[in-house]
Amino acid sequence: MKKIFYILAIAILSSCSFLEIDTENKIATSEVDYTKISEMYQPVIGAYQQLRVSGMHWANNMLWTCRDDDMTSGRTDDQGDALLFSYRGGYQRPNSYWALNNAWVTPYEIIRTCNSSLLALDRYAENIEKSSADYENYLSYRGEVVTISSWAYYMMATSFGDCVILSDNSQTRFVRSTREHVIDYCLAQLDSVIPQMKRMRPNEMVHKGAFSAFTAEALAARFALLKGDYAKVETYTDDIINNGAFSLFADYYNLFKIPGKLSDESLMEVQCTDFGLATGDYIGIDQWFNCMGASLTGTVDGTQVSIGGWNFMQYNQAFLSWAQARGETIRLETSCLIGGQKTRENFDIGGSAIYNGKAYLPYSQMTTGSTEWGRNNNVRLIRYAEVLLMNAEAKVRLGKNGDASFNEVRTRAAMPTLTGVTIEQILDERRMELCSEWGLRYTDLLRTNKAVEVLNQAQLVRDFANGEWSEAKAYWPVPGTQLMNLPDLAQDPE
Amino acid sequence: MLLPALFLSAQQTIRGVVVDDAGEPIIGASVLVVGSTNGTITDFDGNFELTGVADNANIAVSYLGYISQTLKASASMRITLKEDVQKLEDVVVVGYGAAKIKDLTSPIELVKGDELIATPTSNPMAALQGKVSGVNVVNSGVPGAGPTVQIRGIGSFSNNTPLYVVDGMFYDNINFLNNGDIEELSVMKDASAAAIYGVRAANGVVIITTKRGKQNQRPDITYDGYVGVQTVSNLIDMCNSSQYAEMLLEVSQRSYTRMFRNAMNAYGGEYNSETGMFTLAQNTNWYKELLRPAIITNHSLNINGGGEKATYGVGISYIYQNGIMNTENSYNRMNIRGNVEYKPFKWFTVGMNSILVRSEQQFPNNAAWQQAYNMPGIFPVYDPATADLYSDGFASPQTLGLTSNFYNPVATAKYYDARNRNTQMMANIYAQFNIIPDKLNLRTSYNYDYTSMQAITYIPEYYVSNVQKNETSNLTRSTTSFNNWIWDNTLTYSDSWGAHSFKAMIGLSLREERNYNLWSVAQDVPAGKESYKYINLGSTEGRVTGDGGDRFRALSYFGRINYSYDDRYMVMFTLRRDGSSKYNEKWGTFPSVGLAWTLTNEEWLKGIENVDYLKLRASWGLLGNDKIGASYGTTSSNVARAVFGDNTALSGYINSSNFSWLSWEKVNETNVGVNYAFLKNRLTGDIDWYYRLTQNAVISPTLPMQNETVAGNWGEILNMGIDVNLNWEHKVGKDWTYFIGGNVSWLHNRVKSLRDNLQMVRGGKTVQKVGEKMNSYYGFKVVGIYQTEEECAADPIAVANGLQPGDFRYEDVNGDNVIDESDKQILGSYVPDVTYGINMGFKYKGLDLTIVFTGQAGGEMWNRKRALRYASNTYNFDLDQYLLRWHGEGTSNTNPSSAALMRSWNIGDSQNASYFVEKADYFRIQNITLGYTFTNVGAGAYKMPSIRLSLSAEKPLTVFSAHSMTPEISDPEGWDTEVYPLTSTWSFAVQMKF
Repeated sequence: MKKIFYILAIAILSSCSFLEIDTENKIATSEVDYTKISEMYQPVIGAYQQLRVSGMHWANNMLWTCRDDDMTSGRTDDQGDALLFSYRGGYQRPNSYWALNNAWVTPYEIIRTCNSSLLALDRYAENIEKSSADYENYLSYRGEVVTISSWAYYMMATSFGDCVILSDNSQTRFVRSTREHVIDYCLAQLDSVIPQMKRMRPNEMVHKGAFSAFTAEALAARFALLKGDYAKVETYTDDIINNGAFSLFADYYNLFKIPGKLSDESLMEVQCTDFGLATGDYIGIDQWFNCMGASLTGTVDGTQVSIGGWNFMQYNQAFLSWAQARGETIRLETSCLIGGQKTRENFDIGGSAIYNGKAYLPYSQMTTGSTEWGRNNNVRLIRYAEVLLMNAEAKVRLGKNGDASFNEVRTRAAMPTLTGVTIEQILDERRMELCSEWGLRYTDLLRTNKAVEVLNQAQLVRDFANGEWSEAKAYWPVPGTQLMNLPDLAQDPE
Repeated sequence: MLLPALFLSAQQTIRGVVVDDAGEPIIGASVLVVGSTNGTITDFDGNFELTGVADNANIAVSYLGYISQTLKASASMRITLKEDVQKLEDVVVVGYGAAKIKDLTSPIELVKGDELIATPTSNPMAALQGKVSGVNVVNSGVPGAGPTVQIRGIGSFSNNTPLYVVDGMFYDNINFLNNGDIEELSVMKDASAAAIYGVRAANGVVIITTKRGKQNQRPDITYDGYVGVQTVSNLIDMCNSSQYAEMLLEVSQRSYTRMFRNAMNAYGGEYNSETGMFTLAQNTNWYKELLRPAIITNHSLNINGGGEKATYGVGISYIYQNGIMNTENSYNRMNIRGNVEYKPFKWFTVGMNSILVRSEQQFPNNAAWQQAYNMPGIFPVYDPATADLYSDGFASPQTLGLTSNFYNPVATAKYYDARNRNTQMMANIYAQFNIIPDKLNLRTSYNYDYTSMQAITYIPEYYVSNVQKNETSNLTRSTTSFNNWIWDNTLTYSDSWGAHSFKAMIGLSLREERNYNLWSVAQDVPAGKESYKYINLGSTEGRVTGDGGDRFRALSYFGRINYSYDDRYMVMFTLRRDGSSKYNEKWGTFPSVGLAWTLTNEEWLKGIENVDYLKLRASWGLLGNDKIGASYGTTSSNVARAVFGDNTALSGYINSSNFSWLSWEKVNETNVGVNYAFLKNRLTGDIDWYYRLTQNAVISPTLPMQNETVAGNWGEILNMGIDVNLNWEHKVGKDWTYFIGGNVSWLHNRVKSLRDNLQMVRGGKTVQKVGEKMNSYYGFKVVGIYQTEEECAADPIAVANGLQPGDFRYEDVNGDNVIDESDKQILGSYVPDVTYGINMGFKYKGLDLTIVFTGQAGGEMWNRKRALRYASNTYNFDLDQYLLRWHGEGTSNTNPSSAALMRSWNIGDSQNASYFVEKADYFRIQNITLGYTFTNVGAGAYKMPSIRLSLSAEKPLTVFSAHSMTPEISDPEGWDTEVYPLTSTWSFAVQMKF
């Protein structure tokens, strides 16, 4: 019996250590070894993952791209609320829609991850000699992360306008900054990292496809364009063009497909891979392609193959007519999958609307055995063509000649070259070249003050509208859920 | 010399009779002179005689099942023993010890195993439905699935299941036990009773003892068995094909005519060109196609007994429950149980308990239920036209033009094979040292539970349509093992002197829980035989494997003091100090106190007619809840991957910086109650009022500007209520007994406060709002239906949103003529206000009849089946949506038009219109049992003590208004989708004692 008392006594004495056990199957943040410089890229990989997962959420893209006169959300039942964000729903923009909340939250997920990634990089830097190659890498990695978070801010500034600058994850004040402040903040951030980043094409980077100084400059040019600071736009874009490393991918049709992955035209791309297998491990972007996709059926080797997309994103018929009137060929074929017709690969396009061809991947290019929309394809975020058009616009706006870069884009698209291009022609070129990409058309309409006129056109209003577009509707309202969680957001932006 | 003379002169012979309340003699009652060995038992007429009884002696009379009496001896006595209706002398297990019911200071409900054994349920807790006040049991129809059990409301956002203590071992559920394994089950409802279990006790404690033998008991062999048939209790009436066509064509002839023309051409029907309506021949009732009657059967054999020094109990039981879904889904379980206790010396006892359980559960694919709701009856289950093409010949919804949101529900149910095979071993060994006989003893007990769970999910290759297909078969296998142990050590001292009685206990408990799982997924695993279902037989390409695990430890010190004076005043203190490896704040202290006053033992209340027993109780205690994920409250690095070039992925990490300091969730509870027996013990029961406040409630709200959630001690939840038990039992003469009783529980559940003065936090499906019930639905409230074009034109909201007659009119809460997020409001919650049970019956000689009713009121459910309509315009409608719809001015002010059921204003997933909230109230005949007991049945020379035969109907009728298969939803937030229907069971049972 004495023994039992001894055992009990020991148990009591050792009780402190009895409860001190580690959490299973997790590495605590405090245990990351920041002296292992060979692992310094790992937090940057985290930021790239967040860009892929949060940035490429299908619902975000649905809302971002359905705001202009050319595209709308095609579903009236599932996600019918998205209609209320486009001309078909009179720009009602209810702040209760879940996808609106998602479009607010997901960019901040990217920003938050970037913030923690920068902190981790700084911890590594404490263990690096200032003059070493590792330190150069550190600075370049910082630049990549800042570029990623700036992209998220760009989407916020062009969709919600005024939004919160989250410079620190422990921040507890959530008052919005004005759109102008956000743009200036991002420009300053980008300007500080551009000189430290690698001056090469993303497809030449050690981590293939990682963002370079030119990616950051292209993004900075976008911000400068929002500001109307055309001199800056010209400086950034000239630097990219004069470097000479970038060129347009000759085959516009395949630019958005497998052959165009990480081409010399690519400045910013979200990369996916299925490792060449139709099943198993797939680092992808969930439903992004499905949401963009249409319903296709074809016959391959005598068996029927169907590639079923959601039919969510549709072009306006007027856009098709406009493009046809311009004499567009390859860009029209690439961008518009017309319901009832066939694709180049002889697949039937189901439905009766016009669907987004830039998200289309032919069966022949798919990983054998797969019929999932866009599987294994990357998503193009910034292309050299956009840089050329920004450059042309900046030059013309500054009273110079923008023909050279403008015509480079036209030529690739098999369109006749023009001389003495005007702002109108450049904006039309952007409308065509960049259609369905990231709501750039809507942003153009806003910054050129054409939105009221274009979005309230008789043709749009007659067909569907329940209400009119007005300046007050230029940017989305703060989602109701966020307002409730964070009373700060109701305050006027500063 | 004087003394013996005096002594002798004071001696006398006493005679008497012992009778019961009804004046019937009690045979075999024990009559004893207090403080001597002088005693006897009563004869056939209840008479006794004792000689040599001192003049001033007291005699004690006792008989099993009756309240013992001590009274002064006199020459001729008539002693009336009162039946122990309250079971005051019964001993209940109270956690690390036992107590007589009469000494309790808190509400503890005792349920005997006999009450559970004949109820056809696979889980003992399911049989408690409606029996115990304050215990809310929500049953599930899935074979083998345990019910959701809540004791006194819900007080936590993370976990509300009570702690089950089976022979000393802790469990989260008792799905592994057979009803026949249980000797008795006590439910500790209030904090003072449960506090001895400290940090695990916040949701109440259920203590279970398995069957065992008693000292000097002859072998008691019993067989219990039943066979029953389960049928669906309730079906939802859906639109038939023609009604469905009418609904859609009413909205648009242009859009939908083609589909119905296709259906008519394929499966027959008529088209009326004048009305533009179809009468379709094909009319599939998808629910009926999915259902069948199913068998349930249970057999258990138990042998218990004991000698002078040893007792034993062994048993085996088997249950098989088939599912009412018309595909493979079933549950079977075998329990083997054994225990032995040996007392070699007066000061030493050693014993062991063990239960081995093997079970297999084949899961149904509940997605089919939702699909059956959505699928119109316009096409058949099987289509002969496609039979050649595909082996199983299932009809494809897409051939008629239905969109990719439609699946053949019968095929969905069929192409699914998921099962769990569990093996569980619970073993417990203990030793007790009686250091001072009957006073001081030390007990040490080590409990071990090992569970191995093998899960296999196989999806075969199949093709129904281009959306309902699986091109490569895939197999998921996982193995999870749980290794949990508890080592309890207690030292108990009890003593009594004069009118004082005293008991003290101190204890130390160590506990560890570990689990580990390993899983793998493979493609292209061949179909056909069960023996093919191995990862190895699949393709090596795309094979994915992973593992995980968890570990948790706890250390506790605890103690309890009971004191009672003269059976009148009782007081109890408990204190438990718990340490947990889960929390940042490691230690928590949980005290409790209980007081009781038995008024009927006071001189001034003795002998008052019709007041037989009255006890007042009051208690207070603090409990903890540690059922929070072990890894909450830590920052962590999560593995991240990104692609850099073709087929190249690099691994990195994301540091999650969402950190929160977690401490114990605490429940602070006060209970005031009374136990009573009036009118010659015919009216008995108890009433309890409680105030139960969960402090530091761990909530995991979505973080500001993120989709992530992080747990923090951010809320206070109040559960306040009254539990009432009332029973009337009357024995009329020798053969007749009738009884009627009821229990009712009122619950007031509210979110009392949230951190930082927040008014509301959102979870996934519901919200938590201060001043409202937990898990409330939140959305727009429908206040009417727009009736006319003029009404729409006059309403700025209708104009702005392009509304038409037939659409919902939502309440504009802030009156700003805009409907937006700020107009959403609380629309109800699944937490009921009132739950009740009524039982009645009679016994006449061997015949007995019992009827039990149960019900609940004041809760709401979310009809997600209807709400899912946002996903497709062409989903089917339930019959009421057709019959009650708005179809012209004045036809309805609550139900929308067919066209409105296709517009996102009414059905949008973000609107959460109150139209989808339905009353979850129900009234049910829980059980009707008719039985007959034969005693002393001769079988040759052998006489069987008893055989009982009974017929019972379990849940034969449930009355409710919701458009649902059942008002009992396992989802704590009350979302009604993919819910397995509730069953009625009709069974025949046999109980034999040998």
